[in-house]
Amino acid sequence: MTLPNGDPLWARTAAASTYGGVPTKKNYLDTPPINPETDVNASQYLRLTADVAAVARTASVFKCTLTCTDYLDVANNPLVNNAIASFYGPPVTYPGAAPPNYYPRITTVALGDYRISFSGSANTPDDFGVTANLYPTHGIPSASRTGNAPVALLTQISATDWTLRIVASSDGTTPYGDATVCLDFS
Amino acid sequence: MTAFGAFCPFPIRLGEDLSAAEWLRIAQDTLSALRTAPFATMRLVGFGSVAPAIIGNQCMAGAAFIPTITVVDASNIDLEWPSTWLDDANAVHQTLITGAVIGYDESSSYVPLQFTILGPTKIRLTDTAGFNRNFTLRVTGHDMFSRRLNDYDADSIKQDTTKEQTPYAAVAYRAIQGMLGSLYSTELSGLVHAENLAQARLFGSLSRDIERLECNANPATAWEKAEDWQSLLRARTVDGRTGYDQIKYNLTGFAGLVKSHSTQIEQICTARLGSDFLSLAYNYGSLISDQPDPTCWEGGSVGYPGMDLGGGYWSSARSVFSVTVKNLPLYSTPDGIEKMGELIAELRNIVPAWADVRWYIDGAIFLLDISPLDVTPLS
Repeated sequence: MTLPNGDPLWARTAAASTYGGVPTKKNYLDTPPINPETDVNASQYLRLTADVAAVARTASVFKCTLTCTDYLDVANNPLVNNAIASFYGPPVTYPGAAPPNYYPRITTVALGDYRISFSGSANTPDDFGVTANLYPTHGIPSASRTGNAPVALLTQISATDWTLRIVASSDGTTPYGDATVCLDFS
Repeated sequence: MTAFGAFCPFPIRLGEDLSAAEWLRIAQDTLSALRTAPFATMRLVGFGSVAPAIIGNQCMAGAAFIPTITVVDASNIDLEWPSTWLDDANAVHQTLITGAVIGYDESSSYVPLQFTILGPTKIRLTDTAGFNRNFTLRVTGHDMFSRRLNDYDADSIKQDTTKEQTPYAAVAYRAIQGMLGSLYSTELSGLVHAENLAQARLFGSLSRDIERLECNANPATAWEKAEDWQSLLRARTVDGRTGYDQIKYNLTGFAGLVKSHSTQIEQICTARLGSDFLSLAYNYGSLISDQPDPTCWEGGSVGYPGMDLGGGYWSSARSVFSVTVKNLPLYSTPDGIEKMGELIAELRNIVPAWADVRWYIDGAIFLLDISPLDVTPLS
């Protein structure tokens, strides 16, 4: 069995060389494609690997839409809708406090105050079973709700954990517990 | 997988292990992801009167591409990237900032942060709060939207090889092993293996040379000789394509001619000639895609389908469209000739790029002469 070279995308270690794209790669005996209808030459392959490396560096690794209903949900934890992660294709919906394997746990700390933990994303396997910690370093939140406009504030507090606060955009402090929040981690 | 291995070095022969369909999928998914990929994603820590620290991922590799930060005043900082950047393949790209998305940190009270694009390489962030804050910035826009599938040589003309499904070098390797006999090692390591492999690859390349010669003899599959074919066929340049791209486009375009082309010719004649235009007739069938009989290289003898040029049979005969008009004498005057020039120019935009359109008056009609292949240079 052959496993892919290098780490999964979310390890952010990939360069073109990870995919076999090194500038010294050339066609055997410097011969061009034998038949361009059936062949791919070295420079075309290099182009592909460089582009894949570029995409991998800034790619999102986890996206979801949170439904926060602090006053309605029994457990007061948000519902994680349409979670899409780099390691699994189809969208997944789950209660924030009970994530499937490798998905982040999202729980309520207080009104409009949430904890997002990727501690369960250690050694996340890719499609081939090659693992790496899926610990994002960047996050973009976007909140909306009926009524006064909210703003979402996302802060990384440790290698695995983030806090999410949803407050009124008018004063920046009044908490809202009934917003919908899109999260995009990379 | 031997496609990238010892027996089948680059160029990759699609269909040997990696299929053409698989290659197209890889290329397409890469292109799709590239189109919407952020140029840079960064966390700026400590925005305020000093330049914040940056924790970032860039499309490009290396710290040299992290933007330069200039503190304009207590509320404004500028981020500026180099005007060009190198990707991993050492290709130069233009920096082209088109927008940004800001994710707010809770380390301070929320005050909207604003960004202004000051140019293709520069963005200004304005923080009216004026004290240290953290936030994540995702910058969009780079010049990779111009990337095409052709950059990976991936388009639907790609197909699996029928010639080298087993690598030539692998066949030669087994033959060499057989000829050396049992006195020599058959281990896949060591000096004997290395020598056998080197010779096998050399013999394999000779077999490839034969196939390449065959391909270069056909404009639809020529690579090295594509530009010669382009010149020989007098293929017009379409959409900036050159060389192999040009020939391939022209030939596939020709093969893909649809019935609407004939209709288009009628419509153009009607538009240009007005009420003078009466009817259009064809010498081969009723459609421009009905080509004349195929021809061998010279002498006008009819060839067989195996001699086609990939995009259809080439032909020394011509498709002739007979246009019947009223006021035929008008088309011998300067005004009439100018009108015909405009008609021809427009028709040339819709016929295959390797075809040409001419006209001449023949008795009571004039003839639109559309040649799918000008064989003059070949004779």
